[in-house]
Amino acid sequence: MAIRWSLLLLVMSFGGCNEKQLVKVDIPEGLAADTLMIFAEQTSVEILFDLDSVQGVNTNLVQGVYYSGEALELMLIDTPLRVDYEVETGAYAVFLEVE
Amino acid sequence: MKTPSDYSDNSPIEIAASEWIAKMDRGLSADEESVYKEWLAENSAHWEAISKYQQDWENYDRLAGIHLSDHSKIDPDLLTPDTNQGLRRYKITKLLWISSIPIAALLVIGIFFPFYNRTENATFEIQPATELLARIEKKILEDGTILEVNRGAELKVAYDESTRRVILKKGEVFFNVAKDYQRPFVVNVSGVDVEAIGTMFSIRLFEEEVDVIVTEGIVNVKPNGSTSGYDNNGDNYLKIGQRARVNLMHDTLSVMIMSIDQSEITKVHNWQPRLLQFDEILLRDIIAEFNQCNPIQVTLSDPSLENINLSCSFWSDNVEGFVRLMESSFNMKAEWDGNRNIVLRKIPD
Repeated sequence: MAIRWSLLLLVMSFGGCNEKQLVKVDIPEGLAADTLMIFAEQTSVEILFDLDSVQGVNTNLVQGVYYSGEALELMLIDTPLRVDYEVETGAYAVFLEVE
Repeated sequence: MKTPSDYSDNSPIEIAASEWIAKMDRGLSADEESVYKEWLAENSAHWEAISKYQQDWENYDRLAGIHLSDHSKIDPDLLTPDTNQGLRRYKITKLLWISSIPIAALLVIGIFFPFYNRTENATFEIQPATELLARIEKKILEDGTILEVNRGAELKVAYDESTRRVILKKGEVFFNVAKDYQRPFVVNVSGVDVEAIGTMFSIRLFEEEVDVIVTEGIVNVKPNGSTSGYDNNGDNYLKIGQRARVNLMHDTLSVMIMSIDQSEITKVHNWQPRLLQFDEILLRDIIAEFNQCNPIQVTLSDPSLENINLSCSFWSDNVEGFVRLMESSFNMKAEWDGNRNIVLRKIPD
């Protein structure tokens, strides 16, 4: 649990790196295939991911006001999924981290 | 619940919100950021006020750059990794070659057609690939009128107290005009006035004609300046589902009005951005969606890539972002094939 919160604080401290715009999110814990689309709907950001990569992966509950990238990273803490941010157009891809 | 407009501009909440917006624009320190988050959490009215100001701020940002929005920034090194000097040289050479085409065309016109006098028409040069990859620009004008400006279009906004005037110099624009009965909305395009009160329509300027399509309300298409010699004082009223084609090649403008069906309207307006939102879609199908809406066409070199199963929420005009993410997260390499095609290749493991 302590590690989880340390990671969360770490993500929050770097959260501003993605986007200027703050968004209000209320994303439940659940299967990534569902929650990532909820994230896209609530934040109006562009996102894409490979369904096979996210299959069976659960993401974390995230509620509050965050930068969009920050919220996305919080969702993916303790999961094998990682975020890629396309700086020029502000779009995200979520992919499976290969060890 | 109060809406942001219920608060006067001088309320403490409004003042605080505007100060936060200004601070965010220059960048928040870590301390400021935590104070900001606390302030937002204190009261839902804070959140509403900041949302309103954020929207206004973005609108000002858009209006600040009349020809180029943030979305329209063009990266000359698109899809070209730093290490790939050969490909970059090839692209630069290609760009120079492409740039030389309109110059050569202008020289030919200058030599062989010295008396051709239709200079008010826009130039119709070949658009470079980088321009074709730019996002579709959305402008929100001071009265709330929304313009969707297709790639390569050029316009000038000239509002005054009596008239809301837009001068379309080149290309294609979709207009969603805010109602204002005191100030008509007029688009000047190559000797033609397209006048509306509150309605939706598109205008495309070609070399030889102006094409107007109405999707809501009524617009009047007429020659600007003197209307003597024209029937009905030059007025041509268009209703929903009607198209006017104005021939620019004659001394007096001739207007042909016809009805068109919804499928034709959709086809003409296909360039307008729409959200491609799919819970499950194959890569080949999402690429087909992009190709339907964009002049730049994407193809897959390897059939094994076609059946990658994706979920996505992506705007149809963001081909650039899509291709870049395919490169960075999906183990692919993008290469130009000619001036209009991008080929996605699988990088061998």
